[in-house]
Amino acid sequence: MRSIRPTNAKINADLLRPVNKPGRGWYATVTVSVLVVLAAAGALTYQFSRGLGVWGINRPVFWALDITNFVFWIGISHAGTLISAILRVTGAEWRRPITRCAEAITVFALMIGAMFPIIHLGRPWFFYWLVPYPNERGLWPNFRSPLAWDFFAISTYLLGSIIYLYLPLIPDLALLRDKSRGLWRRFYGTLSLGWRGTELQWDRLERAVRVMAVVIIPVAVSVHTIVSWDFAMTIRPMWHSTMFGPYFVAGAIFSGIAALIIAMAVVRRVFHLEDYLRAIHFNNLGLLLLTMSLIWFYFTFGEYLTAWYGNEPGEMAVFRSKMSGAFSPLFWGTIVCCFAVPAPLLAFKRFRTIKGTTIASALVIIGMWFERFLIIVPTLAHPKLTFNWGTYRPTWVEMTLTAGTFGYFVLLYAIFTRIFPIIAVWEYKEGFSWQAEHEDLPSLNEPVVASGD
Amino acid sequence: MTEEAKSKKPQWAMVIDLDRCTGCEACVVACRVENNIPTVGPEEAAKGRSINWIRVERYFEGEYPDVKVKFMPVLCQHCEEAPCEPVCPVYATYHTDEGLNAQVYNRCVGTRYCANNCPYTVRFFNFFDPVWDAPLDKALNPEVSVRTRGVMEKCTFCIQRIRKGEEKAKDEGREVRDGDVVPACVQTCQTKAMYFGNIADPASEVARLAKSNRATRLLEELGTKPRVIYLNKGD
Amino acid sequence: MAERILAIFDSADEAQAAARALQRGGLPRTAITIMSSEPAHTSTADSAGQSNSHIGTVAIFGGVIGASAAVLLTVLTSRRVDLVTGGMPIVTPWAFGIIAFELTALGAILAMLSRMIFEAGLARRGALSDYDEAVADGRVVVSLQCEDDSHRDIAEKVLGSNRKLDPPAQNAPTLNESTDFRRS
Repeated sequence: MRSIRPTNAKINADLLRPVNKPGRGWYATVTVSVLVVLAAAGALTYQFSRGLGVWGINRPVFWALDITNFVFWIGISHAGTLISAILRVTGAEWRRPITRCAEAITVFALMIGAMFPIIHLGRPWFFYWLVPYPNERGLWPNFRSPLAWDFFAISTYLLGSIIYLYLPLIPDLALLRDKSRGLWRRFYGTLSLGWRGTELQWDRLERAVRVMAVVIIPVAVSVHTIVSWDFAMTIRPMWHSTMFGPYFVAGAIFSGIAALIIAMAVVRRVFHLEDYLRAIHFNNLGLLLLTMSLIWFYFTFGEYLTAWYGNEPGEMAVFRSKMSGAFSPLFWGTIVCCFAVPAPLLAFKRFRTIKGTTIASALVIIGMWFERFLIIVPTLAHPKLTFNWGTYRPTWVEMTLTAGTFGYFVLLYAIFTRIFPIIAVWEYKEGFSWQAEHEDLPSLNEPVVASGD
Repeated sequence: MTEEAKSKKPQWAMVIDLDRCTGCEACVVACRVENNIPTVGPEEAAKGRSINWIRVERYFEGEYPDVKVKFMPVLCQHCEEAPCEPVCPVYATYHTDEGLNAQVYNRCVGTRYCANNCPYTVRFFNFFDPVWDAPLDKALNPEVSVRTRGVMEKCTFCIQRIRKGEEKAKDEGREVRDGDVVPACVQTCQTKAMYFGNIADPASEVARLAKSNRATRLLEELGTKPRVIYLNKGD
Repeated sequence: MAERILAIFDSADEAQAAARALQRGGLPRTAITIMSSEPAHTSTADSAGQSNSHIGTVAIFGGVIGASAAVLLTVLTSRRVDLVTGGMPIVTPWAFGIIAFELTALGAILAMLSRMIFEAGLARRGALSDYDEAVADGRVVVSLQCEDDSHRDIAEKVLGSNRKLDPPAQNAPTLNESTDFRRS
């Protein structure tokens, strides 16, 4: 069934409407998220003035919600770039309305995740000592430390993701430049670098995007591998696991897809983009989410089976605390939220609707946040010398900061949708031309609403 | 012993005789007085934040009436291949050529990664600005720096006493020998359960005791190569 | 006298046809610039300079520079600091290799981006003088750089025979009046 291409004017109007006239939902969202961010800023100020004692961390649980949030948000950042890059490289046509949604998630999630290595420091005003720069004392960072690797990996990924978001944005920036007046025209004009849409420019842009897509995939894989190595390079029981690299990357893609589905569902509702973000997109992403849920469960099962079977006392202490001990409600909750409920939900087409996938994704997000918590805290609470076992309870400061990360993410995303079109206009239009050129292949870029959709 | 053996410098080590330890914790008190260790207060201690560079671990074995109590003083083991050292991103902890695991307070930014990688849980963090309850604030040792909040600290083998002992030996034109350097815990131990000295010096007490058939190291299977040797016959 | 002629078409096919007609009429390929709001997907035989991109090569070159920078940074600084940590050697190849991996990617990305901006003629002053905002409405603009009168005559002859006026699209706000043939 070939789709009838809507007029250029209609596509422009629909996809630029969030930029021009966002609607009440947008204002409400921004208000709430600003309040949450302000609360978190207050908590952070309190923390900087009094010290890390206002958190719940202690000896031996020296890391808790701070690193949970760090790993969680870096994980979310694997949505965009990987999905967008992999779908581009494999030529999946249905990616067109999704790519920018995804790429924006990556940039903002990375920015938020990258805050935590700074704010979790005992002396955060010296965070720049992790940056290699010449100084008169001849001091340099220790490149053997996984935290130094983190710095390079996250910086590279952040820069790469920003560029990967920016490049396909250039033609849309030119579009906005042409449609604007005054200061906005100057703004878009500067950002679009004088883009005219000549054949040469399109060719170079597409080459650049292709190179980026290919380079960013190994970078993305390396980033969360290196984050996982913050744990795996230690000798703590149930941290020192060779599986952590792939385990964390799979978990990151898993939580990233869930975040993408939720973002798409919200954007679709708030900006009335039902014709563009269609059931088929949620269906396909839902299938990917199902795949990742199975992969996540496979890794988790392998991790725990080897611990139990090996029966090493240090590992068994941590294992028992998660299976049946103090952390067991959270642990089994995670299994339910990440696998037991979403997998069946997503496996059946009748449940893999927009609503179904969104519910599954929300559960996955919650489950994955606690999964990161459960990787960190139970191990730290059970050191080898059992005299030093401890517990952990978060304080209001940490909980406010956690809420603040979600608020900040929503705020940044909302501002983004207001300034830039959340669906790539030119890529969407290109889909129709591509379809016309490839009449024999099925296309999923059908904006005309079919019955029962 | 790798490169340290090749250097002429003394290689510091400690021997603790568990069959003599009574668990009196005089070493714990002496250490905190000598090293300006802050008191965190009862609430913070309840949260698990009290700082004890040396602590006496107490394990109960068996059921009543056949209960045995084992006491084990645990302090920084100054591992030759310390897992805490490579993970610090700013070189705030490293290995000296005398075999000490050094902690540089001024360089520490407080990532707490070193504490997470220490299998002996001997590293401590200043969660708040340190406070000394009166009149302890008048009894600070001027030879030891005080730490600020956000900085890691741990046993240094009383490096201030090591320096003093080495300087005295140098002034007298001789090598360091047994008795020149006595850390606060070793000095205070009531049952003389602790020994300290240069394990590279065959004439030293620690070198002799390290070869005892009661000698063992804590968590030896981890390959950290600790410089604290425990004498434990058990019974 | 050099003159710029802009011709505005409703579709890429029409613009391509006009470009081919102009070339057959004798206008050099380099004088014709086709601007559109979507990628053109023309065959390489048609378009000028598309096979001569060095973006890939420059990216590889940037990666090599990044890798070298990483090796120099890690090896030289760790030797300078010269502190033993955990019994590991002063120069730790596996660990430093990770830094090298990241900086290789970074070098490749930054080099590729600069090259792309350069090759695409972006970020240059006065670029928009050769442009019409009809592109934003989905129309295809063909810009002709006519060096002399003979080129202008060719342009007039080819385009004039196809001249048609059409009203602007209903809902698209445009800045300029929608002529299909304009001189400057």
